[in-house]
Amino acid sequence: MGNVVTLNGETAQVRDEIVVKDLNLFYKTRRKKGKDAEPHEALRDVNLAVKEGEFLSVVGPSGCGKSTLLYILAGLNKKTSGEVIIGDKQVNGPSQDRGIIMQAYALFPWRSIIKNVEFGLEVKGTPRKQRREIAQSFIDLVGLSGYENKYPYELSGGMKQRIAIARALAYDPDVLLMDEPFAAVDEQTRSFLHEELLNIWEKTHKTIVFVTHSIDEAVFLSDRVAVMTPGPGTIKEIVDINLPRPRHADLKTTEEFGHFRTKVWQLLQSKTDRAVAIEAGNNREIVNEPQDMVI
Amino acid sequence: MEENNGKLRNKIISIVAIVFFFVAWFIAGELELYDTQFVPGLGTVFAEAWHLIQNGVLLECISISVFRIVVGLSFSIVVGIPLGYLLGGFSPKFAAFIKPLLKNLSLVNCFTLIPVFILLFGIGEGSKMGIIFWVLVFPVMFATIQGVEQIDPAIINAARSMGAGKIKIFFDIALPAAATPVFAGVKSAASLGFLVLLSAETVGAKSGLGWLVFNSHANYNVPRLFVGILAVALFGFVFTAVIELAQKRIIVWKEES
Repeated sequence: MGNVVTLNGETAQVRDEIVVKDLNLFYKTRRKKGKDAEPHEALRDVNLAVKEGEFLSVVGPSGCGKSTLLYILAGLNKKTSGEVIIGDKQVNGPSQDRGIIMQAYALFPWRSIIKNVEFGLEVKGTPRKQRREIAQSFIDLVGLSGYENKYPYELSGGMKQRIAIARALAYDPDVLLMDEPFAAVDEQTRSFLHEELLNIWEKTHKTIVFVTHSIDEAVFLSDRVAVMTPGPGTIKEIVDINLPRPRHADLKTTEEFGHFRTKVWQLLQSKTDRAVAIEAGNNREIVNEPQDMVI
Repeated sequence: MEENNGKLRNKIISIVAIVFFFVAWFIAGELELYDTQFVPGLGTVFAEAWHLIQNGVLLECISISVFRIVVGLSFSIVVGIPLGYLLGGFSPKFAAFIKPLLKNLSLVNCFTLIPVFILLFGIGEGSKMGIIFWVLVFPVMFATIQGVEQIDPAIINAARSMGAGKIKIFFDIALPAAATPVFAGVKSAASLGFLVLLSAETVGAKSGLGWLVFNSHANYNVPRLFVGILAVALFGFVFTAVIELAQKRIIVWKEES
């Protein structure tokens, strides 16, 4: 439980939406002939609590396990030990209390935009007419009214990601899990999408876990930034970002912003960690557990 | 608009070339500009075609050939696509085990199998449709396996994350996600099937376009031989066009890399 000071100066209780306790993950690694396969430690003793309605980012270099952590939260990846609780329930697999947004959009190319957004509602069993209305309202929310009957290939990268966000929001999950969602769009679009995302977040009050390797992005968007270090992946420190909201792009030029950015940067730069990061990035062959094809 | 104009221009040019060829053939034949004993003039060919249309032979040949290839191709689709999904989706390990055997079976030259099928099914329709099915089921199945294996895991994960169960994922994700490669397989199967059909009809058949061509040759009826050749060409053209139309109707989206 965390405390939040309201405008009147009273403290209000805010419950933890996501709790991760002593999470560990080992992968099998492939070795050359004659040597035993040693398990590769991908995540070690990860502990994390995310408050209801909070925007938390996870930053770290490639290979630190930040995306894996997010996929475990989504229920799409297995864990070796530890507990993951979302709402009041243990995570045992994917469920509609969470929505995931991926870097590669993963829109369904054979469905029109509105049918993409309706997918989660179809699973939920929402009647057709209501489905249309809800999907339409989320397309409007992400500012793409008029594109309902287009297909994904007709949209730009930034538009596709907005539709992916609408699709994840439409079935009303409590938690949004975002895996480097803006890594593939250009700088201007990204900056625009940041403000857009904060707008949507303020309107929908979702709890957001946002994985990124961009320090700027993490500081600009978040209430708190969890800094991860690789080999094995652990959360090194969680930095509170005490910047006023609502935030606009010009915030990035202020001194306070620079202060938080430097702080996160320094956490990521300490010498030993860098050496480990390079080692982890270059020399390990990580065999991702093939996700069983679910057909 | 300019793109459309370009397409239209290309279409007109190709039509002009075809028309020019036939007109030249017709005129050369009428004026006897060459020895028309082995290659009759187009006028003679058309006269023979009209004769064959009137006595119903041509229509009968075309309809029996259409029937054979449609049934053979349909069976190979009905068997090949589910088999491809089974091997590609349910059990990748079993697929890896069985694939070399299937590859080898598919490499057995189908023409050498025609006598075997005649022995098994007699000289009737069974052997012809059997051989077409046998030859076509492999490309359809392999294309399906490949299509299923190439489905982007991120798309499956997206569907799973929204709570979709296995049945929903199969019908709403796996089927359309593999549709493009599956259709490519069906298309190549169809053109292959066309070849097999004609050669099967030359061996122990009493009807069909393949029979028409070879029977004309055997009886030295050269104009009828050319009617057969033109009918086969037209049939192939229409058959491909129908499949392409079906593809356009079913696959209305575009895959992105």
